[in-house]
Amino acid sequence: MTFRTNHLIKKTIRVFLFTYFLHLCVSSAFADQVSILATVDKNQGTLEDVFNLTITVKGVRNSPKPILPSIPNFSVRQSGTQSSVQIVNGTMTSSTKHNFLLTPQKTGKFTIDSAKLEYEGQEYLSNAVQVEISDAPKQTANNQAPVFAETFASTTTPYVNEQLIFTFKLYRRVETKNIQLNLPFDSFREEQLKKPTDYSQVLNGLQYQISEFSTALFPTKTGSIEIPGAAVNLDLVIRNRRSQSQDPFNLFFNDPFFGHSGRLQHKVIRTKPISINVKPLPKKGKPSNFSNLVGKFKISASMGKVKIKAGDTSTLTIKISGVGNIQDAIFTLPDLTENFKTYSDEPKLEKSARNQKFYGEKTFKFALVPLKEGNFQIPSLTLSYFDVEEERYITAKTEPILLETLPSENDEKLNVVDSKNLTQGKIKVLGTDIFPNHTNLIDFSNQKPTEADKSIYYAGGVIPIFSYLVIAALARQKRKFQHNSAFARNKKAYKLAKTKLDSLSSKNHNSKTFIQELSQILREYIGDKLNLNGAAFTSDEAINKLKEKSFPEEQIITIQNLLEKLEKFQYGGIEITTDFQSNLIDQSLETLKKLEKLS
Amino acid sequence: MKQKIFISTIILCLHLLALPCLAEENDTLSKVALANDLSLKSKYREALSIYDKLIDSNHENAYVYYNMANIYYRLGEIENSILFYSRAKRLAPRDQNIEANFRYVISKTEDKIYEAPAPFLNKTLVWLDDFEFWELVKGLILINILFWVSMTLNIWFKTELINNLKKGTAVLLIVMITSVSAKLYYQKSYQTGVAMAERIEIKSGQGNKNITLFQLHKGAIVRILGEENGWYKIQLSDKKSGWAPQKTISKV
Repeated sequence: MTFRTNHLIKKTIRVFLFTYFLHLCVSSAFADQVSILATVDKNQGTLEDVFNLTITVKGVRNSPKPILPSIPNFSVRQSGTQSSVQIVNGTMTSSTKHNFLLTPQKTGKFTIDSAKLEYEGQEYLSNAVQVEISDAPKQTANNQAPVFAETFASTTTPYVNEQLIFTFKLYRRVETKNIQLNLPFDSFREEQLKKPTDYSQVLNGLQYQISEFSTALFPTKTGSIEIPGAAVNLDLVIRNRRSQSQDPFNLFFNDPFFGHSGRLQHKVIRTKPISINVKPLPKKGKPSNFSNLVGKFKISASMGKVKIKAGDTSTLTIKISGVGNIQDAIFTLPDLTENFKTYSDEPKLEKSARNQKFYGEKTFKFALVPLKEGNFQIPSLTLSYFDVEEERYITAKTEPILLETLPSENDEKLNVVDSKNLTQGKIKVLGTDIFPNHTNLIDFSNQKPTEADKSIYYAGGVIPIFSYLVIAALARQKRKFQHNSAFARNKKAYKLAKTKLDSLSSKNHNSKTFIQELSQILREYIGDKLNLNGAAFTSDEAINKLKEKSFPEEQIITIQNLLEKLEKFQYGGIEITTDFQSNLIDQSLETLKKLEKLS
Repeated sequence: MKQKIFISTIILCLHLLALPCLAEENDTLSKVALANDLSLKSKYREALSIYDKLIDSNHENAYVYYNMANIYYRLGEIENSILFYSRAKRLAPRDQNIEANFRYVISKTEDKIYEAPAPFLNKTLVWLDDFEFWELVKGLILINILFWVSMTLNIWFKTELINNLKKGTAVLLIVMITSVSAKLYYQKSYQTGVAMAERIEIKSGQGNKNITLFQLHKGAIVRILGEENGWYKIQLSDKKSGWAPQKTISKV
């Protein structure tokens, strides 16, 4: 053993001992006591602040997520975990920080109870934490707030069902991301006016980016109700200090393109709730056909054709349009059944925004079929609504429409309802009777298929497929016979040999001719089977070819013996009896059959 | 000669086998004729009794149902009339008279519900409602035979015409297989019913103590989603759903 080898062994042992020692130290260090600590980044804040609650678990590697207590006055969001290992005075400590973002929902003093950690069958509880939440100071452009929001209502004393415009504006002069707006309108029906718009405006010398959107609200109940304050969740992008430098290189590399977009600070912006006093509609002067329409509306009526034949159809179109709760507009046609059959269509509503107000047009269509000839008048049609500007009920009217009906060319063709033009639940029938019974006896046979019918259906499904498969296989074999002579010879070999053997047995031959022909038949068979040219090969050659083609040894020996026997008779000049000839033919047939089975 | 005797024997056997069927058919038709005659003489109950016996003897025919529906309408039993028109529509979906009478009678009901919620695939396979199941099966078999004949012809004749015939029938075959499968699936899983009681309170759950969600009246057509403990879960064409006692709804 050389000095170099000794040195290498000692070095290996030292490294092993050091690693072992280190492992023992680490194991003992991590066997420390488990502790759990809850902290917040601040104990006081406003409704607009977000508190960072950190649950630190010490003495546990990869600690499981602690279970938070119920925190009813905050919305809680997890914001990741951090693990670290520290070595202090030779003691190794592992700790994991679980971070949570708490967004306050109410003002007041609150205690966040202990968080719980379940680890290796034991429960560990953290300390409780106290926080105090106060009202957020009013953020406006005056105090140079980087982000603030405002809401407005066009009126705070609307009538029930009167349209009021609610506007929300978000002012920003810093970069923000992930904006989420929550606007609950519980006591109102809402119709959005248009998509939010973005524009810039200078306030107190500061340029703000403003996102604005408006929606039309319709109070559904009377009394004092509140539009709750809006809550905007967003992340402020806080630039790194380096980016404040005027260094042109810093300016260049601070471009978001290079990824220096700073860190994100979560923020909740709240607006004040708006109190609304909803007035009931006056009872005095309320028309009988009033259907809760509040706003300013007009009604118009038009007739498709004013000169038609009895039995033909003309369309009466009623349009109600205006500013207000047009969705509630209903229209009932006066009784015209004395002179007309009427069919109503589904009303259509088109909504839009005009001058920052919700505007709509509702169209009602009725198909009128005059029952008799003459001149008829569609009377003036009325619509009642409450005008909020004039604070009184108004009844709008249409002009009467004259309709001239000429005599019908034909009698009424069908005395039953036309099924294609019916609208569910709103169509009155034309006639008073149904089509009569069906009496053509040929049509009354049993439509339920019998078992025989079903068998025919199954056969119709299966037979074509099998027929195709059989025909395709036969066609393929035929093609193979035509194009592959070796295959054809192989397949025909036995049949040919058997025919020849039959022919040989039916004739009287002398011994020599018989032996010659029998030998020839057997060799020809082998030649056909192995696709050899002609029959001019010896029995040895035939046997060798059979061996090459891996025929079983037993069969080869059988045919070899047979061929050798024939050669012996042939060249030895031995006379054989007729019985022996028959015996040889039987032997040959038996041998060929066995070979045929193997091929 | 032997061949001729063999063929004649087979034809004779087939005739003998068909004789009982023909006799049964004649008997059925004479009953239908009698029922029609009774109906014409306003002897509605007697006519209904004959039709009922026909149905009990496993005889299913759209016009038997149609005539029964007409009779029920004459007797003022609108709910039964709608039930039998619905059954007639299932077997003869393209018959204009059945459709017209069905809609006429529906227009006399309080709810005026013309159809149960449409199955999902009906929006894609729009022709499904226009064909009865066995009609689709016959179509499938015809297309199947045409396809395999064109495949067989293509073995010998590699012409463009045969090739196009093969491709065309292949597409049709896929369509028909899909249609028959969809129809079969809906026959097994899609069940409709007709409200038979004067007024049915549709509950939020099984049991009369549950909240009444809405009311249905006789003749309303619903989809039956399931049945449990003597209650049907039903759905309307506007997707309203709830539970109704089984005795108040008849399956189509």
